[in-house]
Amino acid sequence: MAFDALSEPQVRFAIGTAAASLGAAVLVSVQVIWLRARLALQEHRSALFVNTWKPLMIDAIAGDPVSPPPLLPRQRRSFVQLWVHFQETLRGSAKKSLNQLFIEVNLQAYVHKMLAGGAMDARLLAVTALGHLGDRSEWATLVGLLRHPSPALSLVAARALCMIDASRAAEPVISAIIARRDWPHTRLANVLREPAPEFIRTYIQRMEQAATEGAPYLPRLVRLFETFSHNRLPSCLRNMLATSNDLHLVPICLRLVRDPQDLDLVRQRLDDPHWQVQVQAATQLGKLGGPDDVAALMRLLSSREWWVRYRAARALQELPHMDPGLMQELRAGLDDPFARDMITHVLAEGAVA
Amino acid sequence: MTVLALDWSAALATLEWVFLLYFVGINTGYMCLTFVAFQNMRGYLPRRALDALPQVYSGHELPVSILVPAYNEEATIVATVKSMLQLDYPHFEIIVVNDASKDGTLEVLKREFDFHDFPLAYRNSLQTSPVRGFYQSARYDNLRLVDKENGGKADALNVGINTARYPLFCVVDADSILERHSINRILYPFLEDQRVVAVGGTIRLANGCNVSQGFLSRVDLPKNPLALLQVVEYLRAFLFGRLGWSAMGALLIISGAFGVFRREAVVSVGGFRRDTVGEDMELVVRMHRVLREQGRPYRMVFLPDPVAWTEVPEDLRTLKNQRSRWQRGLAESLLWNWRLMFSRNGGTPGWVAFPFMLVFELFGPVIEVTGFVLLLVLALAGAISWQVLGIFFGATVGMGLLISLTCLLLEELSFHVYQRPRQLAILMGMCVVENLGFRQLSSVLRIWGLLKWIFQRQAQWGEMRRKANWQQPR
Repeated sequence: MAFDALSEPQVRFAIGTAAASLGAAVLVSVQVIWLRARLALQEHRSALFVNTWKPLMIDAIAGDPVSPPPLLPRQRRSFVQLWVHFQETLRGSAKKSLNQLFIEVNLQAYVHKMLAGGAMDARLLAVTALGHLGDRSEWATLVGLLRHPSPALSLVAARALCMIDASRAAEPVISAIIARRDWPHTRLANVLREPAPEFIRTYIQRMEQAATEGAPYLPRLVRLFETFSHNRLPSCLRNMLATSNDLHLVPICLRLVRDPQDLDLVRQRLDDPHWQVQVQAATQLGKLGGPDDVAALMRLLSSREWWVRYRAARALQELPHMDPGLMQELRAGLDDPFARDMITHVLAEGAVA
Repeated sequence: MTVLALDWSAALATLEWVFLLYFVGINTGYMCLTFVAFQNMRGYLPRRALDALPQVYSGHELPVSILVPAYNEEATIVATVKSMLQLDYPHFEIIVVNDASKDGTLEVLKREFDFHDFPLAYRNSLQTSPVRGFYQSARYDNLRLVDKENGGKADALNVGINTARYPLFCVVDADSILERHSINRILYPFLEDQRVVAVGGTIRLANGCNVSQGFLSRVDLPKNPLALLQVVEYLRAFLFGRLGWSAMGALLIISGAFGVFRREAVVSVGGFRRDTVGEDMELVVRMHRVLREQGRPYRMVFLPDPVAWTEVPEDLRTLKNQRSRWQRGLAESLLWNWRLMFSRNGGTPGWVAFPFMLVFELFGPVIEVTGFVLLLVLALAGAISWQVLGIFFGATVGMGLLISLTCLLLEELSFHVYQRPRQLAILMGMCVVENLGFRQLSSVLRIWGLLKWIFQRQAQWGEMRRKANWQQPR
C-alpha cells in the first residue's frame, strides 16, 4: 500500500478525520448530558408546581374561593400550561371561574409578551390562552397570525378568534380557510365546531359566491360545511347536486343531504356513471329513504363495484322498515350470487353490531 | 515476479482510492442526512405542542384498516391485538391474517377474542393464495380474522388489503405494540395532503419494556447485550436516516412493522410482491417507480413520533437470519426497480436515494469488510504499520461514533423516551461499543445475506425466536 508513513496525504487525512470526529463526538456528548440535566431540573420544578397548583385550579373550577400563592417568574409558563390544559376540558361557567383565577395571578401581560416574542410553542400556548380568556386586545395580532407560515400557529389563531368573537371572526377566518390549503380538515372541523349563526351565514354567502365564480376552492368549502349543523341544503349545493358532474364535489354534496325534501336529488344520482357517486347516493338513501327506494337499491346490488354492492346492501338494511327477515326474503329473490353474498355479508355485520 | 508485484501494487492503489472515495462519500451522505433530519425535526416539533392538549374528535377522521399478518405468533399475537383494540382513534378496524401458522396462533386468537365464522363478500382486487375462512369477533365489532393457505407475509398482506373496508390500511407486525395515539398521528399527513400515498412510523425496541393488558406500561432498555446494541442502531436508522430522506421526498423504505398506505394506490401498482422477503421496501420503491412513470403527483412521508414497539433478535442466529433477509430484500427491491434510477422522471428518489442505497447500503458492507480485512492483512504482512492501521480504524470509528451520538442528541432534543440517567449513560456507552464490533458484525451478516441472494436460496417468512418476556402474564 502506498501509505505507510504518517506524512502521506491519505494518512494525514485519516488523522484529521479521526481527530475532528472524535472531538465533535465529545462536544455532542457534553450537549446531550447538559440537555438531560436541564430537562431533569425542569421536570422536577414542574412536578412541584403541579402538586401545588392543580388542587387550587380544581377548587377554582368548583367555584370555591381560592387564595393563590405568589407566582415566581419561572412558574408563569407552567401556570399557563396547566391552566390551558384544564380549559380544554371545560365548558360553561367552570371556564369563567378559571378565567377569574388567571386574572387574579395577573398573567395577561405575560401572555401578551409570549405572543410577541416567544418561541413557537410559547406562542401556541399564548394564542390558546387568549382564546380561552376571550381577550380582544390582541385581535389585530391574531388576525395577522392567520397568515403565519406555520399551519399550527395560524390554525390556533383562527380558533382563538372564533372563541373570542365568532361573528367578527367570520370574515378573516373564512378568507384564511380559502387561502390556506395546509390546514388539516379535522383540526379545522374542531375549530368550527360551534359556530355562531352569523359565521354560518357569512360562510354560505362565500360558498355561493364561489359556486357562481366556479372557484377552485369550492370543494374545500363544501366539504367543511359538513361540520355545521344544517337542515335544508343551501341553494348553491342543491344546484350542484342537480347539475354538476364533478366527481369530487357531488359525493360531498350528497353527504350533506339531511332533509327528505332533497331526496329526489339523491335518487337521481343512483344512476350516475361514476361508482363513487353511486356509493354515496346509496349511503344517503339508507339514512333518509323509505320503502319506495328498495327497488333502486336492489338494482345496485348487481353493480360490478364491490363498494356499490356493499353500500346498497347496507342502505337496504338501514331503511326504517327493514328487518333481518325482510332482508332474507329480498335475498331469496335474487339471482345474482354476488348480490346474495353481499346481503349475507351485511346481515352478518348487522348481527355483530 | 516483478510484473506480479507491480500488478499488486496497482491493484492496491486502485483499492486505496475506492476505499477513500467510499469513506468520504458515505460520511458526507450521512452528514447531509443528519443536517436535513435536524431541520425536518425543527419544523416538526412545534406542531406537537398541539398534541399535548386534550384531543377532541370531530367525526371527520379518516377510517383505517389495520392489517396484522401472523405466522407462528402464538406468544405475542394476543397482546398485539389487545394493544390495537385500545388505540385512541374513533374509526378503525383490525384484520388479523393467519398465514397457516403451524403453532397455536389461530386457536389462541379464537379463544381470546371469541371469533365466529363470517360470510364475508370477498374482493379479489389482488391475486392471493386461497382463503380458508373469515371470522368475526363476537366481542369487538371492529375485529376480524382471516385464515388462509400459507403464502408468505406479502401474500397475507394482500389478503388483508382485499378484506379491508377502508381506503387507508395500516400494516403492523404481529409482534408489535402500538402506542395509543400512534394511529391518530400517523394519519395526519393524509389529512393535510391528498397526494400522500404512504406514511411510515418509527420502530422502537420492546425488549426490556413491560407490556400489560395491551399497554406499554414501562419503557426500559433491553438486558440482552445484542438487543441493547440495536437500540442505537434503530435510533440511527429511523431518527436521522428516514427523517432525512423523507424531507427530501426520497423515502425508499417504510417499515412493514408500522406504515399506512392508500389502498387504491397500492392496488394500482399490484400490491405486495409475493416472491420477496423485503416486500415493504420493494412496494415503496415500486410505488416511486410506477407513480413517477404515470406522472401522478404523490408523496411518501416518514414521521418520527407515531411509534410501534417491536421485539428484536437476542441471539446471533436470529440476528443473522434477520440481517440476511433485510439485505436480500434490499437487493431485490433495487434490482426489480432499477429503471427508477435511469428514469427521466426519477427525481430525488431515483437519482439520489436509489444510487445511495445501491452503493452504500447494498454493496457498502462488502467494501467496508474488504477494507478492514485488507488493512489487517497488510499490517500482519508488515506492508503497513500498526499505527497506520489504528489511524484508519480510528477515523472510521470516530465518524460512526459522531453519527450515533448525533442521533442520541436528536432523540434528546425531541422525544427522550429513555428518561432515567442510567439509561442515557448506557446508551452513550452503546454508541461507543456499537462502533467497536457490532457494526462490523452487522456488515458481515449482510454480506452473508447478499451471497445467499446471489445463489438464490429460497427465503421464507421471517421466523424469529420470540421471547416475549416484555409481556406480563395476563
